[in-house]
Amino acid sequence: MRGSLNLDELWQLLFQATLETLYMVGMAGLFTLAIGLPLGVLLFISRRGGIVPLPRLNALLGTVVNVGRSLPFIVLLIALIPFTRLIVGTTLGSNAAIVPITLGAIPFFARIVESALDEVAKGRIEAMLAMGGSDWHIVSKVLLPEALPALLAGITLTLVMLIGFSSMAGVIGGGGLGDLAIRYGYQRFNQPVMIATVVMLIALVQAVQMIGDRLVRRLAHRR
Amino acid sequence: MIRLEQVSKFYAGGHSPALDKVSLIVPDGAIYGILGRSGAGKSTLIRCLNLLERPTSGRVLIDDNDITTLTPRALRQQRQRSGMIFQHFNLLHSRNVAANVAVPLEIAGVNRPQRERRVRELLALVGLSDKAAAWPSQLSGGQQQRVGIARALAAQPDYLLCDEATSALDAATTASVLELLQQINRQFGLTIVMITHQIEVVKAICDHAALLESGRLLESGPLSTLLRQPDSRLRSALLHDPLSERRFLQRHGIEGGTLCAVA
Repeated sequence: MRGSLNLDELWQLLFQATLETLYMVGMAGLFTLAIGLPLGVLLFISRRGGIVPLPRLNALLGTVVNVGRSLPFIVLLIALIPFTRLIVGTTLGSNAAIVPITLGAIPFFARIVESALDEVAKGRIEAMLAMGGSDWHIVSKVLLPEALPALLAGITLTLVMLIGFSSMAGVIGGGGLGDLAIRYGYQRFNQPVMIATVVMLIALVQAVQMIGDRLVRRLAHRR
Repeated sequence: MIRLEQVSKFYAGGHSPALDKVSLIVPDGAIYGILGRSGAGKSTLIRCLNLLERPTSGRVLIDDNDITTLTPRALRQQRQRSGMIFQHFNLLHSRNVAANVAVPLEIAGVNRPQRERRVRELLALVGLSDKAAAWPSQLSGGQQQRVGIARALAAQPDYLLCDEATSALDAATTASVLELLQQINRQFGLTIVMITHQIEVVKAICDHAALLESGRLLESGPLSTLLRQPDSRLRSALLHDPLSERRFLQRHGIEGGTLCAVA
């Protein structure tokens, strides 16, 4: 068979690609959290009747987030190529892939954060106000800690989605497991690589979900 | 002293005012019960006392200081001077009991050793010293309300606002929470304003009372005065109600004449 590999080479490829995927998902996860969390908080508190009502800003942010979410990721991936070049200097490799992956995940995660905060009982916010708490106290002592289990569940969901996004980034040469599947499984019809990739992706998603669930359960247990 | 002057509140879209020119004086050291049915405007009224609700018109004077004119920062400081407890307790479930009580102290910027000392005092006061490390979800309703009271008192306020504080509790627990409130009132000279739909609450510990109906304050004043007014509705609500008891008996087939015989 053309392009057949021995087991050692297969492992080597798989190991390398898994590391790249983990790197992309990890970095994109951090950036998504760093930008998406404040964005989600802002979406929540700036609502009409919210803690810091800013209806115009809220409408603007809401629109931007919705536009981001309505583009299929594969379109975003390609549309963002010039932007990626501007930021990273190249459009190939894992570092370049982190840009569209992050930008694709932020709007999604921001909405998750917003709805997690919405679940916090309004009376607890009111109690903090009655105690003389500032807006910052409400966010830092009420909203985020009280919503933590829901936020963790949302982060788990987002990480699983990031694994999917990072695989799609293989289409534009982003590296990682998706890249491997395209170059070996699709372009060279190498079935062992294809199967190994699929198994590895499933294993990654399972691991993330399991750790996430466990953390959520541990937190929810004492409340 | 708390003084409400012609306080009105309109909600957008509401056809009648939630509060209609309410004027009220709460003297220092009083336990003031504001009685009314659901929808009478009680919640709005008590929220006007710390501006969780802002009146559409009128003045809210606390110690002769109109709090509706305060800057946001000054208002937050003012709020630290009045504690509030709630029907559903509103404890933070991400914190244990001790950390819940510490919240007002954190807001006030009290350092950790002092916070811990004060929390210990407060938990002893409300009889929950052994629950410092427990989570709110592990406590009964009465215990949660005691934590709420400890939290409300943490920053040593002059006023305590009680929003249907005993409505979610059973009769025995209500009695013990009311007793605690009375003890606090005596011990610290804390002024307590409580809204309730339970006449028993007024009966048990209040020395002043007011009746709110459809946003209007129908009666208000010291119970010692109200109870002397024969036409007072609060008086007749507080005292034995022969008419309703006769109806109750009639509903079960016992007529007035029989009642006398039985009695």
